[in-house]
Formats: sequence, structure tokens, C-alpha cells
Amino acid sequence: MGTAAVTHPLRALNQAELIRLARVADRLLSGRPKITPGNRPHKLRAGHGIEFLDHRAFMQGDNLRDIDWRATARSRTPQIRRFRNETSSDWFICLDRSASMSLGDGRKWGLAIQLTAALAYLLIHLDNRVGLLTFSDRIDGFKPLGRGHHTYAALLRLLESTSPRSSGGDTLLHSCASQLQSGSQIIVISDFLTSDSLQPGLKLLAGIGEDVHAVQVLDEHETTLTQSGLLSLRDIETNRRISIHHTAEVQKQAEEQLGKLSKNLRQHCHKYQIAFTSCTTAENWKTILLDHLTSLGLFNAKL
Amino acid sequence: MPNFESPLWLLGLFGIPLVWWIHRFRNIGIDLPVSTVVLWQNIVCPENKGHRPTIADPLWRQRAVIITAIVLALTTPVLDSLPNRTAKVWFDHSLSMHTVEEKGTRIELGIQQLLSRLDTEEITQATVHSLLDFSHSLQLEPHASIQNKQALRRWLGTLPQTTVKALPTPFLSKHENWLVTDGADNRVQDWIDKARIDQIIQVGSTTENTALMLLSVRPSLTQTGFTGIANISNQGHKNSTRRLQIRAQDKAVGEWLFTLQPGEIKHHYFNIPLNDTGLIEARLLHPEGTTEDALANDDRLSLIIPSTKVAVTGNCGKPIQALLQALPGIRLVSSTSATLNIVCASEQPLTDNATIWFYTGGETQQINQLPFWNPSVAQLSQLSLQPAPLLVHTSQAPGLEQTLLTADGMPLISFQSTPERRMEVRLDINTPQLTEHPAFPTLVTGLMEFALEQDLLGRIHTIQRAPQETQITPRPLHIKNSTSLNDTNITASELTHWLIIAAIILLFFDLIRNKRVLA
Repeated sequence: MGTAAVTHPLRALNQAELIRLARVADRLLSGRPKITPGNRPHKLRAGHGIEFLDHRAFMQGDNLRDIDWRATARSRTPQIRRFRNETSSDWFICLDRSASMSLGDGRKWGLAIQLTAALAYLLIHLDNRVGLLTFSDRIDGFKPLGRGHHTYAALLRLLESTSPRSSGGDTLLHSCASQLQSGSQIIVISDFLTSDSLQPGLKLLAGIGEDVHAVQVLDEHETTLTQSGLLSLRDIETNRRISIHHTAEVQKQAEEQLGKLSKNLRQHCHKYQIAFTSCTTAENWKTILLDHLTSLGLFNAKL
Repeated sequence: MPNFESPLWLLGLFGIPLVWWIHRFRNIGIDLPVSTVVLWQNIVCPENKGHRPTIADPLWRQRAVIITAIVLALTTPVLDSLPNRTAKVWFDHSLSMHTVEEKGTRIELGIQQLLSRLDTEEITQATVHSLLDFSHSLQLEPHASIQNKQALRRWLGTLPQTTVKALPTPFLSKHENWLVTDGADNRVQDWIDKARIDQIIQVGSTTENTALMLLSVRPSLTQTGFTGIANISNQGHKNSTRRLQIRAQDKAVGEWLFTLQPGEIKHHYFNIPLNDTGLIEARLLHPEGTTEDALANDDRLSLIIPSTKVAVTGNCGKPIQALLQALPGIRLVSSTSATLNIVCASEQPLTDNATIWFYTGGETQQINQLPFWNPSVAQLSQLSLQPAPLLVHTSQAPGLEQTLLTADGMPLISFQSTPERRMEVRLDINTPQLTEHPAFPTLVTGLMEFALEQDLLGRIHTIQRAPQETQITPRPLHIKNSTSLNDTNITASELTHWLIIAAIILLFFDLIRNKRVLA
């Protein structure tokens, strides 16, 4: 137990598995049969491409110069032009390091940084530029966009030196907006356990980024309380307290509430075309990534 | 019921509802951190209605007790200490306390006021000590005034009537120290300051007193019997007229009337024409029409003049009998009870006590030289006995070890001190040349004084009073230092400490409980 406690979660990442996963990702992430064939991701970056791709509704954060006034006049709603991106993409991984990520004996945080590191490896392997933001109620750490192994190494060092906050603070996804580049790809890794499930933040990022991915990391015992009887539950981030009389029925209701929150989040992500995956610490990072990449392929296919 | 020295602090108890109100906002139960309380916020339970407990944390009761203990400690509560009040009463029973006031003697007034005060102050345990000799004490029974009054009277009656000779210093203790006195002795105030008296019961107001201060008697050197002196003092503030009466053998031998100014002392000389007096008494009587003396105990002085018992046996002749009867303080008795035997015989007497043996046997011879005294006979060394016509018995020389008188090379008087003081005299006691000699009375008296080792003619018998004994004017007394306040504080602080300790213990348990919950 002691050895497991001191072993950093990033040590569990297997290089060979990452390479195998990269091959799968290569096919899945590049598979855009509706838009452009090829073995490299060609992302949409308005203003940086030449070939017209499509129109879409104007959203907060869009550049006014991209508005197609004719299309706007026809549809009577603001429409912007999108162009086919002919270069590799820029990816930002936003990792939640709020206090809620520290619970569950660190397993939640461990899984989150494993996913972050694995995703960064895959994206860098696909010749993308990757940046990392760790955030809570503010941006706590930032690694600018970079490419290559040295960028991956720098990301790993940042992840190794980062730990979730012990208490206080909040989870504000809005705080990341200032560092994100418009048209970039954004992956948010968080437990999304707030009263609003970070839905306003996701909506904002959906306007900034070309594509937004949301990975919800939950502890497998998120609703399991170790004590019974009269409990004073303290929100580790807001310090808000409520008193409950913990029973099996109460636990069941809490699990239902968690399922309801996840369902709402999933619907919200679907509404804003955000790729969403929910996982728990009972799952392996590789499985989670495969599920996400698979759903991403299906997601793109639906697009 | 406890008393509160600072009762205003009790207003702090109105803050207890505030404690309850504050604890309504405190979440009850074991503290448990979670990622978000959103998962449980819609779960309705009695303790969590509206996301806020509807009942106060049960800990509010414990904290209310803590605050109550602290508030009560601030009020400095004093438990009703009356059941535990004990007192040491120092009772002055000196001569001045026998002064008669309007409602009785000062001692009686002191007893009444003491018992009344003990009841008023609700002293449950009191021990009365003699102020003059603190080894004498009397334990009073609680709530038994009548019995205590009788016991005090009996106890004080057994104590010697003396002045305040040695004032004791009571030990500082939890007892209260009370003093019953008239304050006539000026040393009492100093003692009060040193002894830390808590309460003073002062009795008496009379100031007028005339007293006999001195009675002194000695054998008269010029007349038959005794001569004496009596001192009378007026200690009051008004003129006093008194009659001095001298009594001997229970009979008045003289009376004199005096009027004394305030503070005046009269010296009166008198003669008692009796050789064997026994008891000599001086009395101060108040003439008719004058006020009776407030303190009668100092109006009498008496002396017992001891007699020297002398037995004369043998053929000593009338002169020596007449001489002995004329000497004051000499009583002629039989030889069995005598302290001095004067024997005139030719045979050596067999006696067990001091003896002067005048040898009467054999021939007599007139001495021609002046007799010479041994220097050891100091009182007779100046006595000159003319040689002619002094006759001495020469047939048998005195055989005792020390020669006191010699003439013509012959020892005339010899002496030995053991086994009993014995003197042999070769002077002819029956010859008129000796008995009619002017130095005869002095010679016999000197021999008797030497044999008895007593001053028969120079003895002075005196009895006198110290001036402060007869001073009855009460002086104002005041308390400088008191121990009772300290005792009260000790009682109060003891209760305060208990409350503080209780509060600390409860706080400690509260802290332990909170740490356990947080852990």
C-alpha cells in the first residue's frame, strides 16, 4: 500500500501502449469522411484556410470579420464562414485542479493526469501543437502550445509538479478563456461536480474552440460516505455545509442525483457539439481514451 | 444560597439564548468533506430541511453550561458561609472588668453582648479564651444562649482576677478573632493591632474609681506593735471622699477620712499597737452621702504578717520572757511547735530546730576585758558589751565549732549550723548585770535573728497594685487589620475556582470532541 501511495500515477503510463493507442487515434482522429479524407487531421481554422467549408451560426467569441453578411441576410441570423484548415491543429488541455479532484485518496487526480498525459502524447504524436492549462477558480499553471518530444516532456514535468488544491477555491472554466486561442481544439478534464456542471464554461469554450472535448472523471465512490448517522457534509471547495442523516436510501438518492447531473451534462455537451465522456476511477486510462476516441469517431461521423 | 459580590455579571446569562441561536447555524453531525454538496442538497431529512438544520447543535447545551460557569465565576459567588463561621473570643476578665455599671458588672454585660452578637452573626462555633491566660478556654455550644451564659459565668468565676499581664497573640487562621473588653488597659489597643482582631465588643462607661494602691507594714522601731503606710489613689475625674479603715485580728484599729482630687494619691501612716497581728487589712469605705465605688475589688488590701514561734524553757527568768512578749511578730509557744527554742539549762538540750542555749550550770566569773565579736556576726558586731560587771560561766567552755564572742581568751558564745542551727551562750542570763544591761534586748534579738537567719525587726510586708489595674476608664478601640475579609475572600475564591475548573474541563471535552469530529 505504501509503495502504491508513493508511486506517481504517471509511472503507470506504458510507452508501448501509448504507441499502439496512437495508431488507433491516428485513424480515428483523422477519420473525417464527410469533410476531408487523409491520414492527418485537417482542422477548421477560420481565417487561416483558403477553401470554404461551410457556414455556422455566430457565437460569442467569433471574429466579426468572419461574418458572411449575405448568408446572414438570407437566414436572418448571423452566420460566419468557415474554411478548411490545411495545417495540423492546436490543442489545449484544460485540467481541473480544484479541491474536489483531491478526494478519493488521490485516485481521481491520478486518473485525470494520466488521461492528460496520454492525450498529450497522442496529439503530439499526430504532429499537433499541444498546450496545457491547469485551473481552479483561476489559471494555476500554463504550458504554451508546443510540438515534439520536448513539449511532451515539459508537459509531464508540469503534471508531476502539480497537485490539486487541498481545500477552498472553486471550479471556474471561464478563467481559461483568456489563454485559449480561437479555433483551437480544447479538451476539458474535470469532475464537473459543481452546481451548474460547468455548463456556462463549456458553452463559452465551444464558442472559442473549433472542437471541445469534455472528459468527466469521477471517483468510483463519489457518493459513498464512509460514516453513517448524522453527518455534516462540507463542500471541499465552497465550504458550504449541509447536515444529513445518512442512510442507504440517502445514498441511493445521491447516486441518482449524480446520474442526473451527468445526464444533464451529456445533453448540454450534445447541444453544443461537445464530445463528452464520463468515467470513474474504477476504469483504466487506456479504456477511457479508447472509448472517447471511438465515440469521437462516431461523433464526427454524425457530423 | 450563594451570594454574589458582582451580581451585575448575571446579566450575562441572557446571552445563553444567543448561544442556542448561533448553534442553529452550525451543521450538526460528523464533519465529512465531499466533492460537492449538490448531490445531497435535495435530500430532505428533518435535520436538513432547507439546507440548514432546523434544530440547534446539541453541543449548545454544553457550551451554555460553560458560559454559565464563567458568568457565575465572574460574579464572585460566595456560598453562605454562615454555617462554617467560627470565632475565637478573647475575653478580658481583668480587675477593671468587675466594675459595676448600671446594668451589672462589665463581665456580665460582656457575656450578654457576646452571646447576642454570636446569635446575630450566626456564629456556629465559638471558643472563648482568657485574654490573660490563653491556656484557659471554654467551648460554647451552638444555639444555646442560656446554657452558654451559665457556663461562661462559671468559667469566668474560676479564672484568677489579674490584670492583662501577658496578652497572647492569636494565630492567623480561618477563625474570626473577637475581643470582649472594656478597653481600660492601654496595652489592649496595641494587642488588637498585632492580633488582627475582627470584632470588638466593648463594655463599660464608668470612669470614677478610688483605689487602695499600697499597704505596707513593718515592726515598729519606736513603739509597740507595727507601723504602716497605705496609699489611696483617685483614678476618676471627680473629687472622691473615702474613709480608710485599718483592721488587725479582724478588728478595726483605726479609721481616717480623706478627700482626694482627681488623680491625687494620698499616703497615710498608721500604727498598730499589737505584736501578734496575723491578718492586717486596709479597707476603703464610702461615707454616708457619697457614691459607692464602681469597682469594689480594688478597695481592699490585706497582708498576713507571719509570727515567729519561740519556746522558752528552763530557768530563763522574767526579763527574757518580757523581752519576747514586747517584740512584734513573736509568738511564745510550746517547744513542740516552736521554730526557735531558747533553753536556759545546765544540760545540753536535745532539740530538732534552731536553739539558743543559755548555760546556767557551774560557777560564774566576771570578765575584765571587752568582749570581741566574730566579724561573721555582722548585725552584732557594733554592739558594745561593757566587761564589768558581766558574768560568765566558766566551768564548761562552749564546744561548738564557731566562736562568735570571746573575752579574756575565753569563748563566750559559740555556734554551729548543722545539723540544726545551735548557739551556746555562756553569759549568765539570770544576773541583773546582763538583763538590765541596755544592750540586752539588742543582744537577744540579734542572737535570735542570727539563729533564725531572719530579720525580726526590719521585715517589711508590702502589697500594692499597679496603676493600670485600677484604671477603669474605657479607651476608644479601633480595628486596623482584620482577618475576616481575607477569610471571606478565601471562601469566595474557592467557589470561583471550582466554577473555572468546571468550565476548563468542559472546554477540554469540547475541544477533544471537535478534534475527533474533524479527524
